[in-house]
Amino acid sequence: MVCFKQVVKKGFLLMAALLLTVGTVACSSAPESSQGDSGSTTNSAAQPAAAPAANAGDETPKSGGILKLARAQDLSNLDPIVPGDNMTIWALLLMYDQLVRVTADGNDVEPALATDWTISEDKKTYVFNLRKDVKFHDGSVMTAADVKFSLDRARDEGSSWSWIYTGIESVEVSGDNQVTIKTKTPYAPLLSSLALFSSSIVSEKAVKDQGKDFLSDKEFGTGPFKLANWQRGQKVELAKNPDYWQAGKPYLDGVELVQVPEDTTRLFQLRAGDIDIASNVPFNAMAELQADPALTVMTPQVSRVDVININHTHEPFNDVKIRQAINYAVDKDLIIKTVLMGNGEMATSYLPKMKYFNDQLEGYKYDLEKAKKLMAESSKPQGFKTKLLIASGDETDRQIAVIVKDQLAALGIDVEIQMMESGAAYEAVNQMNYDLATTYFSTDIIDPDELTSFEVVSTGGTDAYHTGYKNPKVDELAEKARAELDEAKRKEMYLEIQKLVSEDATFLFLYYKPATYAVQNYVKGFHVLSTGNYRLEEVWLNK
Amino acid sequence: MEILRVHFILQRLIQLIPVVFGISIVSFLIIHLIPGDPASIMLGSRATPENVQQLTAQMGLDKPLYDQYLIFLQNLVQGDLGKSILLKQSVNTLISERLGTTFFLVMYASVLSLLVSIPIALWSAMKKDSLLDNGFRTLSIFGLAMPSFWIGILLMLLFSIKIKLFPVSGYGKNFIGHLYYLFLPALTITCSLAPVLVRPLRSKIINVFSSEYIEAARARGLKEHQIILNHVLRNAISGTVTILGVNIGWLLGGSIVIETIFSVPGLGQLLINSILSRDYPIIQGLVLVFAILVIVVNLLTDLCYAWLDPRVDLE
Repeated sequence: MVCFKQVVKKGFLLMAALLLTVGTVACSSAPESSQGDSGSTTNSAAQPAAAPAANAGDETPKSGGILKLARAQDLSNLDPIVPGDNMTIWALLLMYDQLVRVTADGNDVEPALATDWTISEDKKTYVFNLRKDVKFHDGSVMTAADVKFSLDRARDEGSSWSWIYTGIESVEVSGDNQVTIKTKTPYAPLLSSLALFSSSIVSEKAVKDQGKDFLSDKEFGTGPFKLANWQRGQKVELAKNPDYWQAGKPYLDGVELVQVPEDTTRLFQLRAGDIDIASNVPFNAMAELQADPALTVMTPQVSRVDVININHTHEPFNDVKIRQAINYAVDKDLIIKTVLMGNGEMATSYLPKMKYFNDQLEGYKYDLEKAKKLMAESSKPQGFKTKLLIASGDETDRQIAVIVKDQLAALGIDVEIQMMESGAAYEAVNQMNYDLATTYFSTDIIDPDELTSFEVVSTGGTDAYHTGYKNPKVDELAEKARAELDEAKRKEMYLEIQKLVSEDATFLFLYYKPATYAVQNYVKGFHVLSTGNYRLEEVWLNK
Repeated sequence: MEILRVHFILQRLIQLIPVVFGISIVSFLIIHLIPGDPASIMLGSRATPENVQQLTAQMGLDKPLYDQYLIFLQNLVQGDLGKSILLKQSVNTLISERLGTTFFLVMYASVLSLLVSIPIALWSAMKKDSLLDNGFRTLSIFGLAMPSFWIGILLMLLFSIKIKLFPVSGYGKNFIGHLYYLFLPALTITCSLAPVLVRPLRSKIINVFSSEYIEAARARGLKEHQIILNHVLRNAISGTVTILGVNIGWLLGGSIVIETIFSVPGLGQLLINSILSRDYPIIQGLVLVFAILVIVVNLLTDLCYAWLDPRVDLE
């Protein structure tokens, strides 16, 4: 017995010593680098501009070097008309060009493969003049026929994105370097749609010669980078396109998109200098990275809004008072503070902060009294039982769910948190087999038309994103806004739609959260667009 | 004796067939029972039901389950594990590309564990109940109790960030590169594997030390290191081999965690990605490969055991 006690005592001492050592190792990074300027790179996320260190403009760019960017997921199908995942879409935009592209501020489009365009009197005919001497990655010259072929391909049945182009009547070659696009009716989102990745210009000859599936794991574009090697599940290597139409760019010799699913590993790789840029930095790791003087943490605003989907077809969520009550009862600022570590803003609209965003809306700021009052006037004054569906393994979702459950309890609503594997959760929402479910909306198109029909128009094909929401006024306005080419009038309509949706409390609006990147200071010119992608042809390394 | 051994191996290999068959049915059914279908996961949130249906048909997932199983079995008999739904590559290639990595890691970790365990066990046994012995025992409890992902992160923090000695992740290009890049992952595994080996080995060594034949060896005037190498270790280690053999099976599964943390492009990483995207053929193929590996490793363990201890009769 004595012996046993001794062992325990000794063991305890040893363990304490070990813990102390380990603790020192784990924490000592903070004080060492605290002299780094963590103050200058806090989250002034309102502007999409990169943090100062990453974007100092007065230096002359240096050529050369390989940029290693770590991301959480691999690419899927490389055919521009297929993918729906951001990793693939953002990589495609590095390899392909479109007729027009989104401007750096994300509010307009600018010339890309088309140098200029004219719109006819009846607003149904667009004539695009193409840039001359643009070469595909094999050296062949891009022609008007390639443009027609690519756009027809994107509109065709085999395209996952054909619904984007339903407004187009025809695409014709109208000259040596000219393409004419006719729309069925005046169609305002056309230019934005042409800037979408699915409108990428591919080589007609290559696709016709090599067959339908050729592009699924290869590329044949005109973009700043060529696909050099794709080791699935590990990395994608891109090489500089020396014939790129923007002379002098890209500065980099190549890019490696490395797949690192584990957050911690990605950050360690960055701190060890194995990689140059880490994407998807967890919010709880940002302070630690900001303290590192060799790194810059960026929180660019992207077009994304996080909401809790409400199933209006399940009682009692058909009652607008209930929907408003739960909106008031959930403290969004608390969620932003605790879950996002202060990185975000309360959502007031179904639209992310993008073109035509209604900044006059007040949204549902936390107000328990109002919530209780609305609840008392509702169809279920005594409260009810409901379920909140979240994807298992998603820590953010889990934390939000716990807060929502706790706060709705104040209204007598008993929320059961239902966890499903993400694929299953997604299917449950698709089949409208849920009460409440966490979700988010993001867009690659700067025009609000796409998100509007996806989220709130009852005839948009998704039942207002599986909420079953139906407001004839919203449907009608969305239809009208699509056909209106007058910017000011159009804006009015979208402001009105946002107001209506806010009043109807279609979703439980949560927050706008920025993207997060951590970048080595020697990486210059890295800039994340509001559409989430990055133009790496502008990046250079100051090593 | 040789004939006996060949007979034994053949018998065990034949036993493999029903086991593999059973595992294939169970894993096939379980995979298809998980909700969520690959087509809608692939197409994303904007897919129309028609798109999903079309892709499902394209992937052959609209056929009845038993039909799908029969097709799978038919291919399996010909040694073909099918084609990945998402990656559009043959599962055989995908697995064989990564099998070496995982196998290397597991073997590396096993060797490292033995290299660490044997001296520690020997030392502890010889200085039984000393401060050192107790210290190692406490340490081993610690190693057992700490989850490997945490150990991995701590090791990374220490060896890659603080003292930049080893890379955070990767695999290396040649043998030396593998040894260098996989050192931290292997060390992480060692931290949880070594304690499992040390404790039984220590008690076995203590046992052997007090046996009469050691006394006899000493009486014959043999040198102490000869006694330890030829008599003590040889007698004590056979049990360790069994434990290691059992654990290698477990390690192959455990490699999922280690490979994810250290971004090692092995089978574990492939399995995780495939489960997330519901890439049925890959999951199916991997489960089978893991099962076969476990059985083969057990067989090798038995053979090893017989080789180390001539008293063991394979029959």
